[in-house]
Amino acid sequence: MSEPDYHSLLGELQVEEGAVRHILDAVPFSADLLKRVRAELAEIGEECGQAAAAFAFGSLARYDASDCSDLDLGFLYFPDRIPKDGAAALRDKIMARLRSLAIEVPEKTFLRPIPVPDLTSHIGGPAETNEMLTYRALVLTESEWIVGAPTATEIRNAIFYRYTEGMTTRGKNLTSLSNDLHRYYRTLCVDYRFKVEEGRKPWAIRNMKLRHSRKIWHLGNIVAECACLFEENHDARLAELLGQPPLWRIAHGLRRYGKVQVAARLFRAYDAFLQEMADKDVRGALDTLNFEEAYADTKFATMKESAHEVQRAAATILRELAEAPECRDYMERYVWL
Amino acid sequence: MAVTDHWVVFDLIGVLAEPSWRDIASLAPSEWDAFKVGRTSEEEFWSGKHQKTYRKLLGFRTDRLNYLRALKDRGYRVCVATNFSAKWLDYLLEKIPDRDLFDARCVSDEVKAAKPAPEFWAKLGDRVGPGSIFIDDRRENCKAAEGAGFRSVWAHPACRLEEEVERLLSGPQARATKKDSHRQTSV
Repeated sequence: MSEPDYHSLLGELQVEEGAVRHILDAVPFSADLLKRVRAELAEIGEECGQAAAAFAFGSLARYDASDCSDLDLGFLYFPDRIPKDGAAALRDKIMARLRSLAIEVPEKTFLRPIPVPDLTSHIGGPAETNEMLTYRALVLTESEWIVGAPTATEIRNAIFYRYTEGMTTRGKNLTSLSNDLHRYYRTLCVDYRFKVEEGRKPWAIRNMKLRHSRKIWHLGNIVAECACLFEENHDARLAELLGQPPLWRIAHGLRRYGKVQVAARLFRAYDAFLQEMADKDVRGALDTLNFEEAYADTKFATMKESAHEVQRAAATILRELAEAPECRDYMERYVWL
Repeated sequence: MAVTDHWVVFDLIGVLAEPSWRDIASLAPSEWDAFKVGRTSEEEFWSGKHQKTYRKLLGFRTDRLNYLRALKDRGYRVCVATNFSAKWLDYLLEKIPDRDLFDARCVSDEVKAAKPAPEFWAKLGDRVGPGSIFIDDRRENCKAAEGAGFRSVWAHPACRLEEEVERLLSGPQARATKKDSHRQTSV
């Protein structure tokens, strides 16, 4: 990913800076934090050599992080270049260093070093796991390197190649990849159910993330896919768009159809969400809010309305795209069916 | 190993190595524009801390390095053509056992010209054969190289680089290039 310049879009979006202040402010915050983390981990990176890479996923990689954000860390390695326990030791060093810098690294989804071959094989097969699908989707669409830049790029390319090299199944619009990304989105939605119902995890914040950032991530993929239809360099353009933050993907994808301004409503709605997520008290309240109490809670009610607004804005974008016959045909075949 | 006079020219950052300096510092484009052609020193470009950090982070991609070595084993000659600091390139080369990896180099701060300016291609043409293959991750550089008589491979994120290079190496133009190798490339 690269640092998005949302300022350059404001004219086309017909949006004032003040209406998307939190989106704009999050970019330099995230970029500066990434640069700082890379510098602080540089020596561990020398130990990793070309054997491994560490990625930031989530809000930091989307460039919409704030003081309240933690760092979702993914650590991938080549087992023919470093043994498993060596990879684990390096990952532990990275975690310790980040925590010494008072950067919170949750131990939830990304708990262990992952061998790269696990991500590039068994795609769609019985040996595949949700974990592998998660890593593939995030490395391609929501990641920034923090250790081992050369190896991180090699890994990203290797994952993308697995979709492009399937000459029988790739589909002319690389639907082998888009199917996997759509599948990941549905996995997130079902995973939410497991975490809340059986895992008894806090539901409100997960609910809000699913209805804001996760939905926008999914929308961003659909818009990117539509924007690349019949492109001379389809795969190049798709890889480029998928490697950008979702809001950027959406605006640039809509530009192909002369409809950047349609994204304005979504930008405003998402800005409101970021404002809430940057508030420690709001996060704290969401973490402890019971489902039974939610509908009487005024803050939750506000955020629920924000989620509805994201939905309405997203639906408008899809309807506008569907006015182009090739987009409608694509969405009928590969999104709705 | 067959000896050939075929050259394969590689861009550095984004093709063979990472990261870009932009991944660790936010500087004005004008600062880079001056530094990359040797008009300013590294000390003027950025801080001592950045200088040390960047050297630690720089590294070749294993897959690309292996392919480059394989090309050399097959008798092709390889050149690096990059908007970069010669000191950075030298430091990067110190990290691998085959420091004389490149048969030629065209580095912007040594030749005092940068891609995609015409002067850069003239300098590159002084070093490699006409019609050589040029690989870059920026499309505008590939187009400029084509305009200067090179054959290009755009190394975008979805590019299957080895396949694209092999296609050019084995295509009809490869045979034509050999026949025309006595002619000078003009810019």
